[in-house]
Order: sequence, then C-alpha cells, then structure tokens
Amino acid sequence: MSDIRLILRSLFGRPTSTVVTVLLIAIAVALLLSMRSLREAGRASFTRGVGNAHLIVSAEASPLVTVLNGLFYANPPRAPLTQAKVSEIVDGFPWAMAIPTQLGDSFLGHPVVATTPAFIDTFEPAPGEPWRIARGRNFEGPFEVVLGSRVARETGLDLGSRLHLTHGTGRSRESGDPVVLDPEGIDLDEAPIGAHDHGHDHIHCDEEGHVHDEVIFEVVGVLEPSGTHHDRVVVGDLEGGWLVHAFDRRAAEGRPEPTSVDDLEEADRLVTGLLLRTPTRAGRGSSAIVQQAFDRLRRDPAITVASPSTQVNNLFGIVADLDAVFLALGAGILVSGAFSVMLALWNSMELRRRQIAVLRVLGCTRGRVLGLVLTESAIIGLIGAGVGVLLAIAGGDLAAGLLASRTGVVIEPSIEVRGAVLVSAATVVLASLAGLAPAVRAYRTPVADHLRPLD
Amino acid sequence: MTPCLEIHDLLFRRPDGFSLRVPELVLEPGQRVLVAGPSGCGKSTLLLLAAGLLDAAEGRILIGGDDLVPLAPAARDALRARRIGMVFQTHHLLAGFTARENVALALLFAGVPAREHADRAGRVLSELGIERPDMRVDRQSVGQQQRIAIARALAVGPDIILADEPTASLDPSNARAAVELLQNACEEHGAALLLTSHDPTLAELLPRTIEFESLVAPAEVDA
Repeated sequence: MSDIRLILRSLFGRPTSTVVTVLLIAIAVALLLSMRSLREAGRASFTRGVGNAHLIVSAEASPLVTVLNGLFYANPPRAPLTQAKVSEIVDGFPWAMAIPTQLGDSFLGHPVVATTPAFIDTFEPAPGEPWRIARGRNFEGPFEVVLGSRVARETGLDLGSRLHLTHGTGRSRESGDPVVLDPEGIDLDEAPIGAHDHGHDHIHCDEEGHVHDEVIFEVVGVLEPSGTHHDRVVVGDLEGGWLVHAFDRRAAEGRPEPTSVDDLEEADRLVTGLLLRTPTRAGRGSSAIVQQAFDRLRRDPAITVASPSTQVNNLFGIVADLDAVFLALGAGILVSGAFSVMLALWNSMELRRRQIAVLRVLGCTRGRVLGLVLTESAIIGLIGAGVGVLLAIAGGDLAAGLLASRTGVVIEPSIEVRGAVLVSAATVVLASLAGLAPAVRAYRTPVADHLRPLD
Repeated sequence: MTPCLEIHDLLFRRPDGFSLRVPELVLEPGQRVLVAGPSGCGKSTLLLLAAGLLDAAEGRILIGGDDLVPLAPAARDALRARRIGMVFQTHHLLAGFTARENVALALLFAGVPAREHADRAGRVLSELGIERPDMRVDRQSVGQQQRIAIARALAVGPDIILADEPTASLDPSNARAAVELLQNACEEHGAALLLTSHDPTLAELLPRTIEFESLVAPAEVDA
C-alpha cells in the first residue's frame, strides 16, 4: 500500500464522478491545444502556400484581395490585365520568374489556372519545393491540362481523361459520360481534343457558372502532392483559357466563334494575375531588389502589386484579436474545468469524511490528509491533461481533414511539445488549486464526530 | 515494567458543556480490562482521548511512558499509528478496499516499509481466519469484517488495543465469541486491551472490569 495507491483506489471507487471530471478537463485542454495548433497550422499553411513568388500583380482593388484571389484562389478575380500591360511589366525588369495566370474557370469546384508551362516548371508551390509530376508530363498544347493531386484523387480522373471546364465556380463536368453529361448526345470520348460544338447553347449548371461545352480538354499529367492549397488546382494552357472565353465573348457579340488560337484577338488575351520573382543568389529565398521592384510597380496606378508574404502577415495581424479571444475562451474553459474538479472533490468529501476519520485513527496526520486530497486533484488534472492532449491530436487531424474537404485549405496541425507541456502543467496547477478548498475541508474533519456508529 | 496506558488527572471539556474528569487509570502491559457503563456516559470519549484523537484540557495520558498531551498533533498521530490499535462497533473498514489493503493501510501510516505490507497483512489476516484476504471487505460477512478490523488493529504490533463497544450490534452468543476472539488475538500479539461496553454481562469474560462511574469524578459529568 502507498499513498498513490490509496488515492487511485479512492478515485476509481467513484468512477462516474472521476470520469466526468477528467473528461471536462480533457475537453478544455483539447480545445485550448487544438485552437493553438490550428492557428499555428493555418498560419504555416498560408505562409507556405505563398510559394516562391516575391510579388503578385493584378488589377484588383487591394493587395490583400490580389493575394487571396490570385494565389489562394479565394474568388475568381474580376478585373483583368491587358497583354500590353503584362508585357510592359515583364519587359521592364530582369525578373527571374514572370508567370501570367488567368483565373475564373473551375472544374467540379476546383479552380482552373490558365497559365504557361512555367507555372509547373518554375513556380514552387511551397518555398524551395518545386512541383513534381507524378504521372504524365507538363501541358504543351492549349487543350491539355495537368491535375493537382487532390483533383485527381477526388475526381478519379487520370491521364487521358477528358473534361469540360466551367466558367465561374459552378460545377462543371467530366466529358467521359456523354449520356448523363451532354444533353446534345455528342460522344465526347470520340470527339477530337479541342473540338468545337458550335450548335448548342451553353449549359447552365447553376447560378454561378456555365459549362464551356465548346472545348474539350485532356489530362496529360498529374502532380504529386505539395501539401499546399495548390494541390486542388487544374493547370492548363493560357491560350486554351483565352479560347474558352473568346467563345463566350463572340457569342455574346453575335460574331463567329474562334476555331483556333490564331483567331484570338488582343481583347481576348487577358490575364488576371502575374506571379513575379526577382533574381536571388543561390540558396536565398529573397533578395534586396524585391523592394526596389515593388516600389517601381506600385507607382503604376493601373495595377495593384502585392508582396504575398507581407499580405499574409497583414491578414494574421487582422485576425490576431480573434486569436486572443479564442485563447481566452480556451483558458476560460480550462478554469471552468478546474471548478468542476473542486465541486467533484468537495461533494465527495461529504461522503468521505468517515473514511478520512478512519485514516486519522490509523495514524494519518492532518497534513497527510491535505496532501492526499491535493494529490488526488492534481492526478485528475494530469490524467485530464493527458487525455486532452490525445484528443487534441485526434481532433486536429479531424479538423484538418474537414477543412481540406470543405474549403481546400491544407493545414498540418501538430501539437507542439512545449505548448502541450505548458498547458498540461498549467492544468495540473489549476486542478491542484481547485483541490485546495476540499483538501482544507478534509484537513478539518472532526474525527470523533465521524466515528459514531451508522444508524 | 512501564504501564502501557496511564491517565492522570485528565480533564476534557467539549464546547457543548460536556466535561469528563478521570483522576487515574493505569493499564499494565498485556492486561485486559472492561470499562462498563451505560450508553452516552463518555466511554467512547475516554478511548478517543487515550488515542490522542481528542485534546485534553488538563492532565497526562501516557502510552508506554510517553505523554500524548504535550505532543504536537503530527507526533501524536505517529505515536498512535505505531502503538495503538482501535476497534469499533461498526468496524470502520474502508469499503471498496480488500481485507489485505485495509490492514496494509495501518502498516502504511505506521511507517512499515511498503514491501512488507502484503505479507505482513496476509499473515495477520490468516491468523484471524480470513481465507480471502484479497476480497473486498464489503463483500465479506459481518463476522469476517470484525476479524479484519481486529487484524488491522493488531497488524502494527501495538502496545494497546482500544475497543469501543465492539459487541454492541451482536447477539449474546456472537458477542461472547467476539470478545473471546479479541482477547485471544491481543494475548497472542502481546497487546493490552481496554474494552468499553454498555453490556455488564461481558464482565465475566474479562479478567478485570472497571465501572465507568468509579473511574470518573462524578461531579464533572454534566451530560
């Protein structure tokens, strides 16, 4: 027999109360750690998803919107840049990387990036981690696309699959099932890539977009996971994107639809963003001339230039107060958990005073009684903290999965050891403090009063 | 030989007005004494005072020559743990714990090394006829619970056993058996026995009987 064994027997002698109290503490710890972990993971995901672009240029209203729409695919950008403006920017500085992008189309809810092959060859979805092609190759022609790993996984499409894109964010469709997906009855599997179906109207699939039935794209490559939100994009050729939009425009104007990229006009050749990177020394992530380039571009009132990393930091600055509120909420839950420990022990004392009197008869000192109750509350805190850490790990993975499936934001929550130790230590201290009042009550137990025979 | 219990000029007062004065009580080692008196006369209070669980206002209470009264509470608790065993009418065993654990608790507070607890408790329980020392006490019969309570009191090898109305809830034949068991156990372990009871018939079972009325100063008993 030992003091610890005595305490554990006492705890397990009232399992319901102990389990409920431990669970309350565990939930509080898990919430606190999860909030902290998700916040850090979210921040890391955003920072990482900036990739290796030093600057991004658009015609959007603000730098933050430029970054959110242009790099994080939050919404289709509304204002385009002309090809002339793009050429002026690209030719006006010795960029190490200048990649035009056109956003606005989607495939089964996944954003489509119409761009140049450099998006896969040069742009890095995470700093220092270039794209790697899992299967197939980079796109070369205007009607070829490469799928991000999540797109391939979620849609089941692979090399050779054919698809239509949707203008806007509505649900587009795969071209492999003409009976269901193509009301005109055209066998798209038999149709040549890039074939035009001039005869029918666009099929509106919902209020937000319509399917570009005029052009069929083929999957020529699948990317390996990058662990960023870029895994949910379909990457295609910029000219293909222009062609798709040229159909819309010509149809609206009552003019003949284009049959090839040669029919594209200057007004068709629009981009919504330009990813830029200044030259750097080998192994360096940034360079001193980024600021110089930024200042130079900022002077042009026709464009908005943004530093992605700065904008991400600004975004976290904006939500910092919210973070504090969540952390305060978690701390509040932890304190309420401590109160539940106090109440559970206080109530159990009423039933255990006879037991305490017996321990005193056997020679247990008042101080030892005090220590036993305090240790008991600390053990509740310790077990609760341990279970809470496990819950936080499981909950973090669950939350990350839900976040990825519902919003596409890829985060990798991990419980930082130092944070877990600190929160656990704070929990044990709080639980011990919560045990103080019941411990004093036990300390003051009048022995003689509780040794009388039971009625 | 030093008496195992000496009480001299003891005065105890309770806030509700009850007071108890015991001019003198001496118990020699191995002696077995019945203190007989009606319920509520103060017999239990006397035992609690002798165990150091109540604070005397005046006088001396010596256990094997060591005065309990001036001792600090923790020192008094330590002395009780090593040298006094107590048995109660309702046994006061810890429910949910096994017989062995109940006995081991007494060893724990007496400072006996933990590695000795299981064997030593098992030995005492075996001597008292407990066949299932690892069964929870609340699942044992009343008779077995009484034996476990006696085992717990004797496990540390005390100088004296203080038994407070141990037969109060028993019928006459079982009461007789319980007292004989207690006496035999004390004799085997070399412990003195101070037993209180309201049942005068127990007097024939113990070598010495003291009427509680003759023990106390009459004027001091207010309640």
